[in-house]
Amino acid sequence: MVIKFTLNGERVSAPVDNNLRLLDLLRDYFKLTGAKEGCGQGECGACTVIMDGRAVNACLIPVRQVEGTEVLTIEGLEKDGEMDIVQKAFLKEGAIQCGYCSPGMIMSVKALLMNNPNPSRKELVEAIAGNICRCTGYTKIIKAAETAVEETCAQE
Amino acid sequence: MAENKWIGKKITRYDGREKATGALKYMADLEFPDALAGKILRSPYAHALVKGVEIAEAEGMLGVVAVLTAKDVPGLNGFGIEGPDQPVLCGERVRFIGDPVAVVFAEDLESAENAVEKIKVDYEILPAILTPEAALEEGAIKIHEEGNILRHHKSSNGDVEAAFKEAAVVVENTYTTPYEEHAYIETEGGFGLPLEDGGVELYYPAQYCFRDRMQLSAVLALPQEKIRINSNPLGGAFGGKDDMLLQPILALGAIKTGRPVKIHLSREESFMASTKRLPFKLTMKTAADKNGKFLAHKVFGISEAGPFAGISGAVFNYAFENAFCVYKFPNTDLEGICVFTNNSVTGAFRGFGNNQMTFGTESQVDQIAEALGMDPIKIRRLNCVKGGERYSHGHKVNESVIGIDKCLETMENSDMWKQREDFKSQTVEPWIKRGVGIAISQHGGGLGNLLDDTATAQIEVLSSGIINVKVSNEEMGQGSLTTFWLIAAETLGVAPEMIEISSGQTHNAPDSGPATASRSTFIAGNAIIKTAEALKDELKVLGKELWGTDEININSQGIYCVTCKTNFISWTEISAALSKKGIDSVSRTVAMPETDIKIDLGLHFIHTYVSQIVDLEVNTLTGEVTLIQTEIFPEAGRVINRLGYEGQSEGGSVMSMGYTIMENFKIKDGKAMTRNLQTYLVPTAADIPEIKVTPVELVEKEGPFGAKGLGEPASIPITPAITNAIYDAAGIRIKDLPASPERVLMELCK
Ligand code: FES
Ligand code: FES
Repeated sequence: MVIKFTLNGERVSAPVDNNLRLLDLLRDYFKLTGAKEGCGQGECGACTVIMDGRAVNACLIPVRQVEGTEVLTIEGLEKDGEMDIVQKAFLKEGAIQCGYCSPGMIMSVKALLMNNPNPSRKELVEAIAGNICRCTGYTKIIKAAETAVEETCAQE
Repeated sequence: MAENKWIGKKITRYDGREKATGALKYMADLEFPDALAGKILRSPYAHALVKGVEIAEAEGMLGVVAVLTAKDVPGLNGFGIEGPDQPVLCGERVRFIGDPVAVVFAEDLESAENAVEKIKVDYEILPAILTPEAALEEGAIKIHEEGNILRHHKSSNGDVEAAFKEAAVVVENTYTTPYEEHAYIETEGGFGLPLEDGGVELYYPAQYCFRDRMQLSAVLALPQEKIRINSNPLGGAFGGKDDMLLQPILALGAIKTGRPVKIHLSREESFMASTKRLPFKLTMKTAADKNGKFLAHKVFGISEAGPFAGISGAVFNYAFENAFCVYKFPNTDLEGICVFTNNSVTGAFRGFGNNQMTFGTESQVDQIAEALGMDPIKIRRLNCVKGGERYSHGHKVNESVIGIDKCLETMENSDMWKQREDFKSQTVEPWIKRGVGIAISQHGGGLGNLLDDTATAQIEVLSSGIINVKVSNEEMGQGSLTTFWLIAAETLGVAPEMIEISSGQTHNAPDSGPATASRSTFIAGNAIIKTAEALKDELKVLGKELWGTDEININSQGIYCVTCKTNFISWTEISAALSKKGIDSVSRTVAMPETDIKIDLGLHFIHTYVSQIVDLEVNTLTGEVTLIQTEIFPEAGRVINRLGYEGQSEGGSVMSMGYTIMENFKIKDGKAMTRNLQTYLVPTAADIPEIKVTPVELVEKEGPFGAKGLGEPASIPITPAITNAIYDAAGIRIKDLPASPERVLMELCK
């Protein structure tokens, strides 16, 4: 079958095999390798992308559910060579070590901010509780998310 | 000391942008045209003879290009850091559930997976050794020809038995610690590529490309020059990517098929095949006099390497090197045995055996303090080795051993320690008990004095004006690229933007040793400083030749004569000017400072010291332990990059918090019961306490810009600090990790 959807703001279509997952479609067909496979079972969050405004585990989404949706990946965050507020905050606060969890982590924070520009610390923690980071101990990730919230609010 | 420009500041990491944007390609993200997919057939038995492998049907299947077995290994069918006892593909015997027997390379993964199902292996099942005790039984089947004992250490000093008799207090306990899975988010995977000259190139995340190349040369019967290894970047390692895993199979696949080959393990396969932290059983007997002065420490420990030596013997030794923590014991008695079993493969894991041992010793120390009614910080300050004193093993250590007392003193004066009684009274529900605990640790930097420990760096000025600094040590997330970058910039006196680091490539960097043992910052840092100084000397000679003066300065623009500012050559011109003199690059080697005596444990001269406080709650109804806050006080010399220093401290603390209260890798009959992240629970953002990092900065004279390593040390004291805090809260002494809710409830009911 062929599916059509919006990927990082562009209308796209792709011939797909029914048993593929959104993660395979992104990585293998569109060559967007920012989303990673860390478990394939919805446990680690390394594959997180934003679908119709919600953070989802791309390893759990069958391709047929992608039809007509709007998908945003880490590669779609930069605008004209300028990183998103969330990406900048991750860099500034030292929230990245090996970086393998970072695209998923950043997308989880981004999804939260898209829906709730002024979340509480508790909401921030909940938003990333499905993303495992084995390196940082999360302290700097939470700090980065808070910095991103402050800067989003300052911009508005 | 002159003010540093870059060192000691909060600097955004070298590889930060490409990681934040998702642009960085990890090995499994790469793409090579025509690549084949590989799938490994693994043993379902813990111990069996391989009587035959039937591959004809698999070979004939659609899409299959090659089916490889032991017969296809051209050279030595074995690898391993200590010795080649781990088969690449098992042809005679399998020694654990997951041992590879064959591999299929096919046009796509599905075809490879289907073909693997069609391979028939004729196994003759052997009795399996499933506990360390069974390995030692008389008449036990031998896992390797030489027997089941990998290490047996015995050493003593003074007379422990006499000391136990005269002591005011003697504490004796047995502690057990479980396996731990590294659970890096990047599972093992990468590519093997055939080269035109009959050689092979690997793209595979690993911690020491030069050692892998050496081992592969024997396996493939190829000269080392024909093997190129790219080992950067890594999506986490923590010791788990130290020894080889898929490299020989990928190399073999590329050579046999003449095409690029890819294998990327699923989480379950990674759990099954990769190394784990060594489990330990430790019996400790410790004595002190009535003033709290330690008299004796006796340790008997048993651990298992799993089926192969790997690097487990060194881990085991290192645990015993740290049996006394930083304490001075006049009477000592150590005995330890590490055996082979048919359980999971074990190996290096952040802390390298020290975590297990320090959990025991620091639990003992708290119990002695309690028995004597002494303050836990005071008893530690009383007994730690002082500057100029020798360690309990008898060896000399660096004068920075005074760092441990500074850690303890800083902790004693911290608000968190002073307010501990207030915290405890803040809890309102009667079933919630709050407690505060502390612990300390030391951790040697470098490989220890049984091994040569050197590092070479190389610097090349490119015609683009970029200064290319080369060391092999891999970047696995710990931030070594950033550290090297800042050290090079500071030494040369140029902006960091001018510097490019090459690492993790056998063909584009000199051998600077493994990215392990908390050595990269220290030894590769020193090698970079020495090489950068040598480059500066060359540039001064160049300036003198050109302008006839010694007054030469270097900055981001180039080199110039101080007195006559008009004389100047830019970095873009320097490359040509140096080549004219026959200098293409500058290279220097440094060695790790060593201690003065050698015993079979391999002793260290330089240590990082850490102390830590933990404040937690125990829910006596559910058994759940919740950390509220922790403060960590590392003495790792001067801080190179504040963000990296804090990041290592926070990450190490949380990782070992998982080890202490959550993570439980279970093996039954040689089979992993914990097969993925659904059952192997690691900490998430919702589990962490508030973490404060307070550097205790002493200048380490031997270290680069006064620094020492911190990657591993930060993961050690939190374990006993947590169990000591649990005791403070609920009066139960956890001797068996993890302190899971079930364990805590069981102890509460005793
Ligand atoms: S790969 Fe999708 S949640 Fe782990
Ligand atoms: S930075 Fe390594 S897993 Fe998060």
